[in-house]
Parts: sequence; C-alpha cells; structure tokens
Amino acid sequence: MNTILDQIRPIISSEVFLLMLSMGAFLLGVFIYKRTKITLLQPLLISMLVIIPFLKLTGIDYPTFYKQTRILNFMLGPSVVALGYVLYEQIEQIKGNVISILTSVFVGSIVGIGSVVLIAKAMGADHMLMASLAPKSVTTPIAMSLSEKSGGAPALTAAFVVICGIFGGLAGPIVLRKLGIKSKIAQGLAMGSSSHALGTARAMEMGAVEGAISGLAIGIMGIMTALLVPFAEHLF
Amino acid sequence: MVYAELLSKSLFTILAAIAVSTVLTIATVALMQDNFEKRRTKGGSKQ
Repeated sequence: MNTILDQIRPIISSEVFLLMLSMGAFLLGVFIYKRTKITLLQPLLISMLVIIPFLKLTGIDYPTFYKQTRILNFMLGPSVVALGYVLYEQIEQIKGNVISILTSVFVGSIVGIGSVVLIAKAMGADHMLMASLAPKSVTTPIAMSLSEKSGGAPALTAAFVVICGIFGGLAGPIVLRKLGIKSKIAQGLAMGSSSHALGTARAMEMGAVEGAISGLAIGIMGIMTALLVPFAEHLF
Repeated sequence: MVYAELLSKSLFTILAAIAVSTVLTIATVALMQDNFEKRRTKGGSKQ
C-alpha cells in the first residue's frame, strides 16, 4: 500500500491534482446541497469532509496543500472585489440608508465581540482563547491579523472564523424568520456582519439585494472590528 | 498538537460562545436596521 502511495505521491501532491480535488470537492458539495436542500450540507463543509480525510490518508501535509492551491487563496481577493459590482447595481437601495447601516453594524460589532469574550470568560477561557475568539465575525485575513496582535493564536482564529460562518449561514435565516425581519437590507446586513463570506453566500441565495448588502457588511464589519478589538482587550 | 489539546478541552466553551454571539449579532443588526427603516417609512407617510 505504502509503495503504491509513494509511486503516485508526485501526482497526487501536484498543483493540478490538488486544485482539481479542491474544486471537484466543492462542486460535489454544491451538487449535494442543491439536490438535498439540507442547510447543514453546506458546500464548504462537504469539501472539508472530502479533502481532510484525503490529506490524512495520503500523508500530504497542510503546508504542501496550501502551497499547491495558493491560486484559490489569491482568487479570494478578486471575488470580494467582484461583490462591489453587485453592490453598485444596488446603489439606489443603499443611498438613503448609509447612517442606519453604519450604526447597525457598529452596534452589532460591539455585541458580537463583547458577547463572545464575556461568554468565554464566564466559562473559564484563558486570555489566548478569548483573543482568538474576539475577531471571529470578520473575514479570515483580518481576523488572523487582529488575533495575533491581541495575543491570540491566528491558526485557532481561522478555525473559529469558519465555525462562525457555517453556524451563521445555518442559523441566520432561521433567526431572521423568527424575528419577522422582512427588510432585505436588514437581512443582508445581518448575514454579512455576523458570518462574513459564508453568510454572504447564503444571503446571495436569499436575493440580489441581500447578497450585495451582505458583501458591503463584510467590509464595514472588518473595519469596525479592527477598531474595537483593541478596546475589547480590557475584557480579557 | 497543543491547539488540538486546547480545542478538545474547551470545545463546549468555544462552540457555545460562538453560537450565542453569532445569534446575538444577527438579531442586533437585523432588528436595528429594520427599526430604522420602519421609523423612516412612518416618518415619510406622516409628512
């Protein structure tokens, strides 16, 4: 078994193979999600369930996988910028709501950071864990940088960001329905500010306005969190 | 490895904190924005 693995290792750890595996796993996830319509079966979650066991079984380490699929990481940037076009299409909806959007996300940011830190503290978490949890609602690059600066572990923060995104994507529409929120702007804003890109993917399914506003919320939440996390350090 | 140990020890704390905080964030942002819009609509209809 090991000799076969050794023989095919150059192929299975190549850039082309790992890129195809990543995209194939995601497309499989999209297919399963569309077929079943079960919210728990998010494409990202299915991709992880395919790729992690594959890497474990074949003995390919994470740095190799990361290096070979770095083009996907690079594409994160342009995909966030592409949300700007959708936002431009909805500019009329946003024009009269600038103050309310900024205020809502600012208060949401205080609630998000404050609650996660205080709950973790009440349950006996140490400084490092609280610092790693505090920026969980923003996009991974910002969250990792903030975590490092406040004494957290960026690797843990990256995992918390994904957990938060998956949970928000699942629970968000249910919470919004229970609260009777009909406003498309409010729905999009809540999804993007609580669960970053994963929330935005879900908001896109809800509608174009929700998706565009959710993309905007990611950016505003990133700025607000970067401003507020240093103050939250007093709570640690 | 150290992180794996920490995660297994504090998994409940982490999941509870993330879940409650995420729901609170969603509710706060959505209710505030919805309220702003309702007040604006009411104000507009009065005029």
